[in-house]
Amino acid sequence: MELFSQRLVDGLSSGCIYAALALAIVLVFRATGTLNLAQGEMAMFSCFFIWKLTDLGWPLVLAIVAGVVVAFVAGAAIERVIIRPVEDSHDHLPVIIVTLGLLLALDSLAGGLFTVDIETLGSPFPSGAWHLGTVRVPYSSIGLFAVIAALSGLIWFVFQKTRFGLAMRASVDNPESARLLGIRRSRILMVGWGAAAALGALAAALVAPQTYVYTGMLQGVLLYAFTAATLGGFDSPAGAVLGGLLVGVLQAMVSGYVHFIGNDLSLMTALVVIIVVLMLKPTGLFGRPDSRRL
Amino acid sequence: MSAAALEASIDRAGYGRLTVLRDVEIEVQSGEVVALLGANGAGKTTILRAISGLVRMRGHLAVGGVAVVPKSPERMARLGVGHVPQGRGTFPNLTVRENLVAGGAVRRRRADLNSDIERWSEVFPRLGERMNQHAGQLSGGEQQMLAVARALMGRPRLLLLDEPSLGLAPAVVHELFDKLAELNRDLGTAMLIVEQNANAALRVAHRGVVLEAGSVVMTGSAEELSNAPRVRQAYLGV
Repeated sequence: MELFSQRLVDGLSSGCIYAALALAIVLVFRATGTLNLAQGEMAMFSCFFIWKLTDLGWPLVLAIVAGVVVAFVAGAAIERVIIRPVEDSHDHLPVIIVTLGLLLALDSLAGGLFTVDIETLGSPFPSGAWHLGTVRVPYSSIGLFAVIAALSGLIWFVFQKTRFGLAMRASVDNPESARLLGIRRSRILMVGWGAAAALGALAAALVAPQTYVYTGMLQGVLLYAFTAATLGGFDSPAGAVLGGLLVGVLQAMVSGYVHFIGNDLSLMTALVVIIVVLMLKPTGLFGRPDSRRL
Repeated sequence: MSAAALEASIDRAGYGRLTVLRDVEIEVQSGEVVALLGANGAGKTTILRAISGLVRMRGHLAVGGVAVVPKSPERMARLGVGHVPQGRGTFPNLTVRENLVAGGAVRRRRADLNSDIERWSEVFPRLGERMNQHAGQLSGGEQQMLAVARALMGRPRLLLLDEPSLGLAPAVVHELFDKLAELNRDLGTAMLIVEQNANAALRVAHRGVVLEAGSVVMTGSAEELSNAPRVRQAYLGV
């Protein structure tokens, strides 16, 4: 039972990271209707930037804040300069291919600009743990929970309660009608990409103490994040968070209890989840089926 | 007499290398309802889309006497041109209320929006009853009402309506055009209505323009057009 509880805590805390990246994926999907395959690489790049700042002597928290802000601006700029020329509300394939190119470019650029070595980044949370019986709940996990909860609340609020969020949803639902009403789609796309990049930067900085900082630091994490988004529903921020937590717990349990999977095959858990969800409930747990009448 | 709500002289408009319109001039005075009639493929929809900036055009365009260059749909909306696209173009996954709020995207104050929503739900009672339903679940007629109300949320001075009667039962068409006439009378909103249903459109229009193969072939008052043998034969089914 103790082992189970410990695995639950560990699973939830890695789930928080998946949730944060899944939120970034969902943000881009809801703002633009497409997937950004380079989401993980953008986050990795931001994490290197944060590491560089700390390397130059900046305090960690300040470096993270600066990294998140710079990521927002850079994300918006990437949308404006690289994505916009191929943006087409009827055909999403060109955008997806360009994000694939962006993935490769950022990967090499990070290696060239920063380092190909493995670096370390400290945790912004205190290092101790809270003991609940024999179960150890690290302060960092509690901190992660708090950050993710606050972020999900903020995103929910923006989408559901502000006119900007409504404009975003309208723009995805029917881009042409939205433009005819004077909704500036271009601005929405930029903000969506910026916000997703900022979210990715934060997620990367929070996961870095465990994964270390290197060009491949988020490859596994990104796959789990996509699983989380699939499970929760690509258009649902709440689904992304819950999906992230579920995937984290599932991964911890399967690796812990199913011996032939262990840590080596734990990515397979994610793939099986994706396939099962797509077969049984393609919209995910919280995704809304399109309520369009044809 | 104030400046015309819309003056458009389209030298050329089309899709890529395909020219759909050639030398078309359309004018809508402020407070006037103009019906744009023509058979399938005459270029009626393209005129509206060219005016809104959805289709590229060469020519000259003025809204309220002020020339507009360059055009984009966002810009036209801000200049007070509402466009109810063919097939309604409502946001199916948004509630009726959210559709209406989105319609007021160009307006700043939220309080004004709420009073306008209240107003349109009185004018269109069936929308008022379905405020929290997804627009995708409304009937065709309700969606058309929603599309009109949504465009009105931006308080346009000119409303472009593209085949509002399409797919609606005759009784609903009648009701819809009554509402349009009422709006024109009460608010003085100018309208340019593209219709295949010439009967319905000429009933509320002041003036009519007949389009054939991308060019204007006849203009006149609604009464003149209703009595013109050519129009009667081709579009009124008499």
